[in-house]
Amino acid sequence: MTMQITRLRVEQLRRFRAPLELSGFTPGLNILAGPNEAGKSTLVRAIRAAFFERHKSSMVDDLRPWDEGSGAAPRVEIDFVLAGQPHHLVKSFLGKKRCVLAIGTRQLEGAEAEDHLAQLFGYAYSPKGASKTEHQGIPGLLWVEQGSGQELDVRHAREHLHDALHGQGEAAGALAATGGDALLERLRKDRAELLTGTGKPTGEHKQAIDTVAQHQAEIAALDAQIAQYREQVDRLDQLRRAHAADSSQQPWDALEHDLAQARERQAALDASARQLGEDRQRLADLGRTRELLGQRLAAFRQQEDDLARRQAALDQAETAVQTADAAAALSRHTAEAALAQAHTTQLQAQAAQQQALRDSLQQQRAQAQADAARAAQALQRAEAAHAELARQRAQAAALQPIAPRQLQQLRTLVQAREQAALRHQAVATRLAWQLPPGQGLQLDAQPLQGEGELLLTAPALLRLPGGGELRITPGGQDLADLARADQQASHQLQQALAALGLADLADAEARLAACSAAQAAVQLAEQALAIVAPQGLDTLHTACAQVQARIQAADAALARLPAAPQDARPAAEAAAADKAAQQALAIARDAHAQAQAQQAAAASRRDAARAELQAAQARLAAPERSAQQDTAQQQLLQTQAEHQALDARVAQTAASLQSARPDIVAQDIARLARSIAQLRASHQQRHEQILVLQSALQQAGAQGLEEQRAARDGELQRAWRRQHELQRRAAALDLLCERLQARRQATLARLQAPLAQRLQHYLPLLLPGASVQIDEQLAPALLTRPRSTGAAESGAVDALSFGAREQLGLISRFAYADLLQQAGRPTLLILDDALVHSDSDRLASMKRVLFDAAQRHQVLLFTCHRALWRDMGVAVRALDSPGG
Amino acid sequence: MPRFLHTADWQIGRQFATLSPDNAPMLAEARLQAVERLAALASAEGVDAVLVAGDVFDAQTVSERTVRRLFNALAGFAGPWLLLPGNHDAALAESVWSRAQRLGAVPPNAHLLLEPCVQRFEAQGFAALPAPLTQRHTHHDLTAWFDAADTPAGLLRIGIAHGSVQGILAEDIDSANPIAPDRAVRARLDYLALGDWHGTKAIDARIWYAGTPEPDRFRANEAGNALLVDIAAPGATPQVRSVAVGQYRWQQIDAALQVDSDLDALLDQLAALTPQHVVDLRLRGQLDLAARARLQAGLGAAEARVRHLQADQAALRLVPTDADIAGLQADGYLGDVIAELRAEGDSEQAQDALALLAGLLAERA
Repeated sequence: MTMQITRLRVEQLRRFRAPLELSGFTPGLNILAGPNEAGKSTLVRAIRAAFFERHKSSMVDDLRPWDEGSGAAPRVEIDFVLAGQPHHLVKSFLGKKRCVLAIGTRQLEGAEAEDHLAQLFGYAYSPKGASKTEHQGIPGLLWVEQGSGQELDVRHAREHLHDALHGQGEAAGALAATGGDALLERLRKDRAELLTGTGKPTGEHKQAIDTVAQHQAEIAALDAQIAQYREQVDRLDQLRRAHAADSSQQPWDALEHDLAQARERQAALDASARQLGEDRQRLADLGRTRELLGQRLAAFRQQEDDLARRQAALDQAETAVQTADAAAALSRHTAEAALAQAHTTQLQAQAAQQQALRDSLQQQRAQAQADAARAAQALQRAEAAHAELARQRAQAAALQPIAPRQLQQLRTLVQAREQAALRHQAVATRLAWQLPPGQGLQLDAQPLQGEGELLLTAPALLRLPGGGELRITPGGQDLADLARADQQASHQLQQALAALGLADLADAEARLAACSAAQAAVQLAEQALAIVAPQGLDTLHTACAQVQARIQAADAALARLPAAPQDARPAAEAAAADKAAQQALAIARDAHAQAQAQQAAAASRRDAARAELQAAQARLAAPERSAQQDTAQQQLLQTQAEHQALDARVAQTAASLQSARPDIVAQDIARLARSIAQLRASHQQRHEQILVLQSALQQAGAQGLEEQRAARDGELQRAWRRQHELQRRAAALDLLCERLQARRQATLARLQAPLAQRLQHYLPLLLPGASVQIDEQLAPALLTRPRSTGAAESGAVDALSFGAREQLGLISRFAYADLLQQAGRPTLLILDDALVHSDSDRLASMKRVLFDAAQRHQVLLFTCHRALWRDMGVAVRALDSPGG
Repeated sequence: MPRFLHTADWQIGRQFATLSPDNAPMLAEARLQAVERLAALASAEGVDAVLVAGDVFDAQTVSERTVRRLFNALAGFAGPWLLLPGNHDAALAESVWSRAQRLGAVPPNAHLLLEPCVQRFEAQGFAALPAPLTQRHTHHDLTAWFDAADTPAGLLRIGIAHGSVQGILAEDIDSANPIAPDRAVRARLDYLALGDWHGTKAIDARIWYAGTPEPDRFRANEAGNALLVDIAAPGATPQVRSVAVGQYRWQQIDAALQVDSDLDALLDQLAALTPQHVVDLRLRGQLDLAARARLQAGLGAAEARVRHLQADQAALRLVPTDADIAGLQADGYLGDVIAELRAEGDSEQAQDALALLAGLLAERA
């Protein structure tokens, strides 16, 4: 459906106090240019107000002419052709609220006219106040306000788009469900109360499941208790029956009868066993008697044999005595010989020992003498050294000692005297003379002749030949002091020399040398003495004395020894011989002792044999012996007979006892007694169990278990029902959410395709090779375009520059307009100052896009840059030119 | 002329816990009240004895309070009460009866028939031959001993037993505790008072099930009565009269909803229910949205009125009409989803989802 505005007139509206009318709009692109403040925005506002605002609205004060009173009535007239039908819309506000829409010959007024327009164009009115974005529907999408071309919010237009595109075939299928998103949101919220994101029960739903489980557990516990109770009741019944049966039947009675019988049988067997024991005792006695009698008879026979045996033994003993005597004599002889031999060897051994001692003493003495000679020699040398030391010390002592320090003092004194003399001479008067031979002068007492020189330090009188005298007095004030000092120094020197007993300094140095030599000689002598007598002379004297003592001791020991025999054997040999002889002696003595002992034993045995023989002879000769032997014989016969009879009886009794098995009888008794005890005990025990069970059942019965269980079961049923209801509700919610979401997605997908197709119609003009994906909100979301390298790059549209977003926003609107037009809806595009942020290349591209879109849609483009839009193939209308 | 009140299956202590917690105690209480009414009836009718043929108690381990309340409820009739143990309260080694005796709760005019032996009530002119259950389940006929039991001449022979008369009720009662159908004849009984079957039922002129005095099941089986039995003399045919004593009317309603008039009929039926009704409603068929709303309103009203109403709608399908759907004004993908769910028909989940969605959309409209 084509839509074309043909004329626009505004009056008393903002800056247009006087009417402004624009006509001659073309079906395609219309460019309205004017500088700022020329009224572009006012015109845009007027168009929006004509459609979006109710004529009765009091919230359109902004339309009021400037500096105009309240009586003003802003008025907009718009003529447009829609599907070939001329429409004339007149709308005035505030001072004169009116709305008239003439469609051909038909006329609509007021709200009816407004609602018709809203329905036609796809928008809504604000129920209260001024129209806002969310009311403006499709025009809100297609009419781009200044500076908002980059924002594309399809949300508010969706339901109108849905209405517009509804039933327009696959390309423009159902776009939205009325209130669908809100409903889906509500369902999701409801679902979240019962299910987690992954579909697990939560909240009340989970609580219901838990409650069911809890009740089930409680019921299971009660069931177990009830089952136990019933079991106990049954058990009680069994026990009571058994107890009653026992009480009436007394099953232990029969057993007690059996027990008594067994005990009788046991008593009989005991008696029989006792008899057997006695018989066996008697049998044993008889056996012993029989044995004794046999022994007695044997003893009689033995006595006779004994006599002969004793005689033989005596003979044998006699022979043994003789043999032993001979052996004793022989051994005594041997022992005596050995004794003699031993004596001899002992003496020899002693002599050899003494000789060895003597040799040793003599050797010691010789050693001592040698030591004495060495000691005497050492002593002699020591004494000589001692004497030399004494001589040296005496020599050293004879020298008057002088210390090097004293010598040094002397040297200092000599030096001082020399200096004093020199100073004295320096101030002395020099008297030089040269006299012809034979001429002489007399100076004081000293005659002067020839040539000479003298220093006069004191007044002198020179006597001239011929008389006369020259008195010479040396000058200088201190001559006297210097002379005194010279004299004093001389005196000190002389005193020091005298104290040391020296003539002069040379003498002192000679004495110091002599002293040092003497001292060295003493030290040498001391050293020599130390070598020969390191421990002193006394030690050497003592050593000499000790050696002499050793010689005397050895001499004394030798003197004490007896005189040496002539034929002394070597000591070792003599000792070995002696030892052998001693051993032989011991052996011979032992042998002799043994022979003597055997001799005595043989004699003793012979005596005993003789006595026994005599006793045996006596016994055989006793008078009552024969009678006794006969009696014993008779008794033996009787005993044997009785023993045989008793033996037979014992065998019989034992056999009968064995077959009666008294052990088994004893077991029978024990078994029966135990059985009786057990029967009685279990009877008693059962009685106790009955009491215990009764008590337990009374307690359990008082708990009303089955009533409790019924109550729990009711709770379980209710809980289960609740769980079931919640489960069903959760499942239904789950299903609904899932289905709605899926359908919604599918719906979006259906619309996305044609929209994408229309987008793709324009996009290559702007960005060759680019493609754009449409998001859930039906706005461009992801832009994919080739890079200079040839690879493709993708990026979110939101991240693009303001200019690029505006360009894509406009393209999207053109795509929507195309879709709407295909669906037979009116389309009008109003662009207020669009594309001001585009660079010249992009602007050129967008101009091609715009031009293309204007082939299908009327476009009103308002701009303040008229120069930019000169190449669009249409005249640029200046807003400030009247009647434009 | 001896007159008896024959009753059975009191099932005291039964809790109906599966019903709502508001209603269950009332229904449990109603059973004790029924006993009180029986006592009043016995007094009013001047009966010689009340024969209670088993299942006095619902379980062995009911609470002490329940035991005491039952015996207290007997106070309204001073004559002999003959109480027979049934399968729910068998005379086991330890039983509700031994507990009652231990508690001292049993009044002297209550005769506990715990052993199968003749009890003579000479003053009242009859001898009782009880067949108490002494085990939970018995597979042999406990009334067999009646045949050989002697009673003094001139006394009526009144058998009291609890179980299933063989060949008569086979389809409904398990075969435990069997009773020979010709027992009255074989044992020369003047009357055999039976319990176990909860509805009033005559096996023959001398053998009767009294049924429970207070209904406790939804299956319609003539429950809620007691029997007044007049026997002129030994050998005379008993005159048996059923007296309604039940308080609540248990009713099961099965309704198939296919067309609108089905729903109208059901709503009429619901409207007719009284506060004495305990109703189990089972619905099948299909409903459109409008009908569903009407049904919910009708159920809400009925539920508020009757003692208890439980409605099983699992087999009821929500089948919205096209007009329903149009009314929801669900367009776009909402409409698609609704169409999808409708197409899935019987799936419970889809039905639930559809109902849920329809509800939300209706709320929105």
